[in-house]
Amino acid sequence: MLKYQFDWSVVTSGKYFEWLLSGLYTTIQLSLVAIVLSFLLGLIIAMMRMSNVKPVRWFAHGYLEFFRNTPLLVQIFFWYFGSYKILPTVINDWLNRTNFEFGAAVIALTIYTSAFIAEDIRSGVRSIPKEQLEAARSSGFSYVRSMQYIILPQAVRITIPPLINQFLNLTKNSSLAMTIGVMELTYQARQVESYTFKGFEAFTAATLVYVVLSIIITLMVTYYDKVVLSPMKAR
Amino acid sequence: MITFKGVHKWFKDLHVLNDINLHVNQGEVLVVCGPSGSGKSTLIRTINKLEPINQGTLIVDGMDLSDSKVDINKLRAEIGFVFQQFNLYPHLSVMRNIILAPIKIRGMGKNEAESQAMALLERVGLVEKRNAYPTQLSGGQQQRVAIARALAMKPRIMLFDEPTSALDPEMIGEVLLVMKDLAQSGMTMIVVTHEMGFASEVSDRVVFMDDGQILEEAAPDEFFKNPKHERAQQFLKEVLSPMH
Amino acid sequence: MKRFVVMFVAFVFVAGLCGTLLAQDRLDTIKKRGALIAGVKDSTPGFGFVDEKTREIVGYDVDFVRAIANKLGVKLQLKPVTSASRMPQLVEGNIDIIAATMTKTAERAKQIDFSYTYFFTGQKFIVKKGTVKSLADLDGKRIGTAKGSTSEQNAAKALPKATILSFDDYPQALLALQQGKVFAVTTDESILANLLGKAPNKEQYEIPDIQISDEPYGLGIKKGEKGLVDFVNKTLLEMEKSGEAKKIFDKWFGPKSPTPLQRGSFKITAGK
Ligand SMILES: Nc1ncnc2c1ncn2[C@@H]1O[C@H](COP(=O)(O)OP(=O)(O)O)[C@@H](O)[C@H]1O
Ligand SMILES: [Mg+2]
Repeated sequence: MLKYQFDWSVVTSGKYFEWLLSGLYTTIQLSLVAIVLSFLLGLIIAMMRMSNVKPVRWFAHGYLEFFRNTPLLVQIFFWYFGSYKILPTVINDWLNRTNFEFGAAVIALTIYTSAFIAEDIRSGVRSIPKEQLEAARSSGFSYVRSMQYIILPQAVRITIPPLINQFLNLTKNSSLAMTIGVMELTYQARQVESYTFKGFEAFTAATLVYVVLSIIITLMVTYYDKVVLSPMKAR
Repeated sequence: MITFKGVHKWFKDLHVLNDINLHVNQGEVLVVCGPSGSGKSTLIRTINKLEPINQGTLIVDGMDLSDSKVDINKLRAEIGFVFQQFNLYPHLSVMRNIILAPIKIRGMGKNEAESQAMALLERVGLVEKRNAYPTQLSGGQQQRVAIARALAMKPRIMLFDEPTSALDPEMIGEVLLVMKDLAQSGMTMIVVTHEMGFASEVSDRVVFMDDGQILEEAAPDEFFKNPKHERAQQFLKEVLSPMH
Repeated sequence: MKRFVVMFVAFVFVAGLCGTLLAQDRLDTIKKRGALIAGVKDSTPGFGFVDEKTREIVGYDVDFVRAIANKLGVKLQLKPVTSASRMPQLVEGNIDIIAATMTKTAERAKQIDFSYTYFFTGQKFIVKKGTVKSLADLDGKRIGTAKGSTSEQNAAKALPKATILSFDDYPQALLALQQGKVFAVTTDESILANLLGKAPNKEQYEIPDIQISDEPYGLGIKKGEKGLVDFVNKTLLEMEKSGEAKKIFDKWFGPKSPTPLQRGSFKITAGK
């Protein structure tokens, strides 16, 4: 029976270490961009979902149902391969000259995650007493401004724990980008594995990095909660 | 300043405002009283269109509220509203509760808004609480901040919906004091309240409502000494009795 | 990540077993079980792919392991693997043998044992007709291939300035080529020929005569299983002698097949 020889040096220095490092860099880039965009898009979709203009509300509803219930992998493939059939040649040519693997992954992750975030924010908004909206409206704030200054800051504050969850999911989900050749962390770990057969070390290293990333994201959002959003004691 | 002409409102089958005719002059202080569920809140909430009316005409500060060309946000900026439950923004400090609307709606500079807020906090006696958060304040303090917040918009009309009903008895006085001060400054005010002391001392006119109708409308002396309507008599007996 | 967990659990499990159940001969295990479990590809035309009519995995690789199973007098059980998953699956003991277009390399031979070469090909490229005359035309371009294959490593070596984009499998790499997302797709000629054979508007593409490596395919067996390796090698030689090996080649790559290839002078022989 084969005895597995541990060799941690493959992942701690040299060429393979650099691969993992560049994978980490890509994972961070991908996740950060998608986190920011999916949060903003999630806010917009949540507001559309609560709009009193029916077509807008229906559109948001359809959006949520569709993107939450379609597997992310399918969505990644759709944006990367499927978009080709829809877009005009000029745009396809241009996209092919850019790093469209990354772009398609960002779009897919952003849209997929925004659907979940929108639902979280919506339930956060619903938990804000309606008198808050009345107070804002009676000061002369429009519906949108009331949301912006009074309701959403409170809703987001309440939504922080589920938001952290969505951001962590997004970071983990970003590994699916490797299916279209984005050289992120899991991709590089696989590369190291297929070059060195040191899969255990490579994936252990990758796992550790994901854990550390998770902790960092949790800390960052907690910090944002404490410092950027003003303290707001329990009602 | 405010004119109701044959105003009706229904919540589904419930006829909450039934043929309301009322005129409030500039600088007048009007007290609205009546039993619970009689439509007092609904009445003052129609004035800034928190509740739209179904029938009749309502003219506020020269603007017809059923006219779709009226910019409702602009009108609301001119009308201060003080709620029974204060409704301060819990995520903002006292200072930011007060300066938010002047800055975002009036386009006031931050410094100007803050010095105005300081003046208002002085007026309601809460300068030292400017950096506190609403939940750190007592009910009476919160309500005074809420009044300061409304005044920060330099409104032409102030509406109060039972501003002291949610307060412990020992805090009612401090809020009424602020309101008296405001009344003496010449503000047009409509106050829904059961504080009959306030009514007789400060108001120019008292309106008694029941079942969505205005049953009596009189000067305070007249109303308290000699209420015409039977239900008003009944009501006064209840609110003025020491048991209450 | 899931695979890592699987690996981890399997590793702990295997490590635990090591102490108690010291290596039992795999050949015995297979006979006792009454089935040979072979890891094969399921989307590599010609070698291991799903037959549209029967919904079963068929191909050159499958026929070889079937012959071995028949010789052993046991049933054949197929397990789909990818280029990246086949070695871990073998090492973990989930499969007895790999028959999945696997190139014999010195690096891999440190981890597992290989049978005699049962198929021989070389690594080439599919490109748009007329775009490539020599290897230099490919350098600096985006080249698609599949993850975990030797193709990826060979391409990186031969084209140091190129960007190698590894997809999950070859059909996606080909789609990327057709959509202009990569300039070429590279892997073993045998796989390329089959891929191209199935492609719509295949007349726009070609496989230029540029070879960047020799690719001898071997069947993979876990290290230290001498009994099984010997049995497989013996069977392979017999198949060559009886003409069965050539028959299988002709069945999948003969002139009448969708993707004819030249067997040329190749014969299964003892040795590397
Ligand atoms: N949003 C609403 N929907 C349905 N009924 C309501 C609503 N608001 C108030 N009502 C009903 O209308 C009547 C008058 O309410 P309100 O104006 O709050 O009375 P008051 O302030 O005099 O107690 C009550 O019967 C109340 O239950
Ligand atoms: Mg009321």
